[in-house]
Amino acid sequence: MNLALLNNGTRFIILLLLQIIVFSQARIGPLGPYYIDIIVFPLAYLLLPFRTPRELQFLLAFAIGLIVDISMQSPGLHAGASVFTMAVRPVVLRLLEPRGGYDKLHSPTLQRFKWPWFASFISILSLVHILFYFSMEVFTPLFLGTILIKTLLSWFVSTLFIFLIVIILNPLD
Amino acid sequence: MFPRSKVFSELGNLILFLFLEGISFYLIITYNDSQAKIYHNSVNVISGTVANQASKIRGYFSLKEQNNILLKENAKLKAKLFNLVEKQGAKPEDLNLNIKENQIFNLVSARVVNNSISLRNNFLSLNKGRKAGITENQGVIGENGVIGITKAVNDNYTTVMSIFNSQTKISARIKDKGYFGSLVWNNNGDVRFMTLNDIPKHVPIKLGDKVETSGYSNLFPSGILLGKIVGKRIPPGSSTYELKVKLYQDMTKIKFAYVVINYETPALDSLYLQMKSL
Repeated sequence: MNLALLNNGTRFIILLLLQIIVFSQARIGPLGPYYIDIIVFPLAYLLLPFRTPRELQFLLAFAIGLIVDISMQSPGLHAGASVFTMAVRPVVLRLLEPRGGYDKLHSPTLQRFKWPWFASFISILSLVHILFYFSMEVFTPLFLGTILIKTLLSWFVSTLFIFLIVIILNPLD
Repeated sequence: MFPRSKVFSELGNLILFLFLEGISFYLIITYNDSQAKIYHNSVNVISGTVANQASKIRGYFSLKEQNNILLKENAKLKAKLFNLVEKQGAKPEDLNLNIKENQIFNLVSARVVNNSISLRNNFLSLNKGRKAGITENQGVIGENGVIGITKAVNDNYTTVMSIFNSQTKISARIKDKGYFGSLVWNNNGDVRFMTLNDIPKHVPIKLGDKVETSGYSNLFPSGILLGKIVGKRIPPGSSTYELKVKLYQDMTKIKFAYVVINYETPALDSLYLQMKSL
């Protein structure tokens, strides 16, 4: 229990720092208005243990989203996206449920699962986060095309960076 | 097997989720400029449409009453026209009432689809907008007086700053005497009375004197009757009256309004700008 607390706490802090100090500074714009935001911090709340109380999951997702929002001056965008993604997480977990189910004490980390499972888990949920984020950023369905292009570009780059982080830091339960 | 496979295992989770998303949404539309604009514009269109439909339906129930009011107003106008003809010795068709060159004012009639009187700063909505020729800063009048000044206009709707708004000031004068001042509402929640300020204290004022628009602001034509004086006092140390005016218009039940389009406004405005740049 204490180990999980320590691991997750460290993860939240490291990912927050990485997001705010490194990735949020680099808004890549090779395609004019379709700039790319690299969003890696969702990894922090996605790796919360299965046994985390649902209320705590929402609150933690909201908190980390809000901190990123404050540093990026986009109040509410990441907070809303994080809470929404957290709500979708059980659905994805059920879709990907291995035979024999999950061990309640584990977290969805690479330590417990193989790459195909982990890659689909992360990429689906980071897509949800980024899609929600850009929908709220553009804020009108009139520019659906813009939303989709921005989402796909940022999703691709962000997911690559998340995998890179996972490989380097190898997060545990 | 897996204990938390449901999205919301309990009602509390759902409430917390909705609560947090609500906060996020509030933050988004409060602190992000472009989102706030989109949000307010959408709300304006939606609420305008809804209010318009509701007012259409409500309109059927008061058709008879409204008809009578309009008939009366029509009769009044006709009487005015005939008086004018009588005085000037001309025929109605000679007055050229429909030719734009002779026209300084034009009126656009609109239905009031939303109205507030209970706030400190009150606003109304009309169901006509830019398409009908309405722009910002035009006067709005009713059957028995002034209603307000247009503040925001989109294609189909107009928001009007009511006379019951702390920012509204109407240039008014005392009928037959000519002394003018500004008519304001002192936010006391009483929508029957307004206050006429800036009339010098040497002017003989009688209770019952009528107050009308002065025509100095080019928002309103001169001579629209507004109300009558029911109370006067001179605040200690002041050189002007504070006159209590009882309005003829009952703002609590207006259904129709006329937006005053002044064809001279652009010319007057450019003159004013010239003067300011001197």
